[in-house]
Amino acid sequence: MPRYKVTIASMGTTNIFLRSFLGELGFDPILPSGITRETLSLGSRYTPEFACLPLKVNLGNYLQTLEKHDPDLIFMAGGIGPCRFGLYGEVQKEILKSLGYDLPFIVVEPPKKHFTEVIDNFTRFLGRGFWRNLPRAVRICWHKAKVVDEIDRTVLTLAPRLSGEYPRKLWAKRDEYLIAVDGTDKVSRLKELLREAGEDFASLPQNVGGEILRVVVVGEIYTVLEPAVNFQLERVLSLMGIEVTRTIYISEWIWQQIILNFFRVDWQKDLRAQAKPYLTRFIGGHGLETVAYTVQAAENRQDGVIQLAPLGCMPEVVAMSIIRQVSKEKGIPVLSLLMDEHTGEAGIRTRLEAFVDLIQNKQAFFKQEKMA
Amino acid sequence: MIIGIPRSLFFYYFFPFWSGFFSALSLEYRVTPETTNPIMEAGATLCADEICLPVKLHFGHLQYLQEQEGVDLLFSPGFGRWGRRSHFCPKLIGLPDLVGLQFTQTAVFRHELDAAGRFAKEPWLGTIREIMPTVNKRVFTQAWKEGERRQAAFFELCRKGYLPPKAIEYLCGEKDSVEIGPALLNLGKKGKGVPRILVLGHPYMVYDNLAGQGLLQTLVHDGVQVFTKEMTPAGEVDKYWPTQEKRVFWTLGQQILSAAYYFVNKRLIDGIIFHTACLCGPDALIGDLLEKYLAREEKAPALLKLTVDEHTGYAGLQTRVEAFLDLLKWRRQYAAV
Repeated sequence: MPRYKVTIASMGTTNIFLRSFLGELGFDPILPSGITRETLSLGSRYTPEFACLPLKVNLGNYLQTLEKHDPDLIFMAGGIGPCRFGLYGEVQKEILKSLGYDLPFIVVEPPKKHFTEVIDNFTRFLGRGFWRNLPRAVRICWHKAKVVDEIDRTVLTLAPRLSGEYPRKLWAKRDEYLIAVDGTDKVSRLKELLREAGEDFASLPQNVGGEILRVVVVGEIYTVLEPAVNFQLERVLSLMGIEVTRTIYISEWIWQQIILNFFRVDWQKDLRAQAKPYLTRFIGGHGLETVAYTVQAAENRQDGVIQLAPLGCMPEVVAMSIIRQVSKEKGIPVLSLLMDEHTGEAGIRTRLEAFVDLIQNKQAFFKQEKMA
Repeated sequence: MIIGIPRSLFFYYFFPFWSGFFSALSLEYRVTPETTNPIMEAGATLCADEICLPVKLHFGHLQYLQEQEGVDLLFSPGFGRWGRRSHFCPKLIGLPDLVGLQFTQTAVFRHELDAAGRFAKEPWLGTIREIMPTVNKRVFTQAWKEGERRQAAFFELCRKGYLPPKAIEYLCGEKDSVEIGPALLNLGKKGKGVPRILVLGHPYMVYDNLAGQGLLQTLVHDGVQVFTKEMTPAGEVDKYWPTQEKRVFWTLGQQILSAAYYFVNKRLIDGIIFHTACLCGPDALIGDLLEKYLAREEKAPALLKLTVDEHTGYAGLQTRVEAFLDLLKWRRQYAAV
């Protein structure tokens, strides 16, 4: 069997483990060179105007890769609706074809409903022997995803507690560790790295006392996970001294979508119960999660919720209208940021700063009231 | 008890069922008038900016009913499945929850359809029992059958080329003597050289008084032979759909694409007008798939994409339609040379 060159689109830290996964399976992975303004304008030139942002960025990624390299295939996830993501594969294939790139897509549909299809797709390009490589590929991919998410989780909690210039240093260290994780393909080394990182982070000097504002980030998976389209939202907030709780981690998502769904475990039960007074149906994408986590944030006395979504994202638009009501009823500040290719960094930054001012003032106000 | 039915969303598609069902239960209903500018403005103020026009119109109609004397309950349709592994769009699935935020006196009627287009009874039975506790199973089943009968008759009329608003007036009107008028097929001129255009779009766009912007009337007035996706013959809906393609998981989107494949392959049309709402999620992708399909096809009909929102003016739309008709004329002349 020839070793096929396969490319993917970028989504936050997913490149790190997808590179190992595809490599171990027997592909030759070609990764996108990152997301720039160029990627955005290239992508939105050929996609329908009202398509959502991830589609545009993905296509930009493919086009940039296709210019420089010569991949044989494109690897991506599929879906069964009602969110638009499930149709991306078809639309992107057609667009690339119309631009003269006729290359096959491996669209991995949810294995719960399309198990044989997924297997067929892999056998087609990897030969029957791919079974032998699968356990190792899955193992390394899973460990990498876990380690990356663990590092991010630690950084998000720790950064607002550090003094002086150290939050910035912590983020710089985080980037270094991610590069190290990206560079290794051994599970033992990964565990070592995670331990080292933990010790390293813990050695930084921390502030004593002082109240920290806590903000929950909810919304659509791509805009939450990809720092290039949300203008490094987590890092910016974190450096403002705010503790960010991210509600979507890719390792959790893989676990829920692939493993739990396959064995028909109802992991959404609690979320449904929490969202029920406001939203009674599954509306696709992360709509249900957005509502449920907002309710949860209000109950846990968090200081604010930020919703991230691409402009025109159908599930999130429904969720947006609903969490405004949650905000009113439960008194939790909510900021919805809808992103498209025209969104500017300064605009987002201003809105974030205003939001942080608001929750700071709110906290100060309540403190004063308590004292009086 | 009077239930108020908004003339919005799937009114021009499922109203025959609703009316048959409610009249058989002797539940009095009142329908809003055709969409007007005040109705649209009321809807636009009630909704988030990012919501599409049809949903805004729905809110406008509900607001209109709310202000009416004597209307006790608002009919709030919810939509879910439509066929195997196929859905309505997420906004319509979450619709009753959105409506519930603004209006309190609502009765939610969930539309869950199987592949044959039959409704699931359970959600309706539950809601009916809440508002009319005296209804028993037998009465309910009879009313259900009446609804289905009217719905089937309605689809039959649509396939024959009658316009849904006309067919609804004919089937569900107060008087028995309502004339249905000529079918769309017979309205345009016949004969060689008459442009034939397929108008594709969701029923709540194409047939709505305001969202439709009188497109169908304009076309007919200009002597065009007009087709809509509702006119696809019953057995041939999916006849030309290539089996290797992934099916679209929004039923309306799939219907639009299937209709395009049918009319193009049968060589029945010279042009397609794709009539859609600004910020309509599914249509953004469906429109692109349609465009790419037509580009592959030899001797494909010309395509005009019309995107309408609450700011669209009639004159602008008409200019584009006229330009499109001119284009069709030139194409024909060019082909003749």
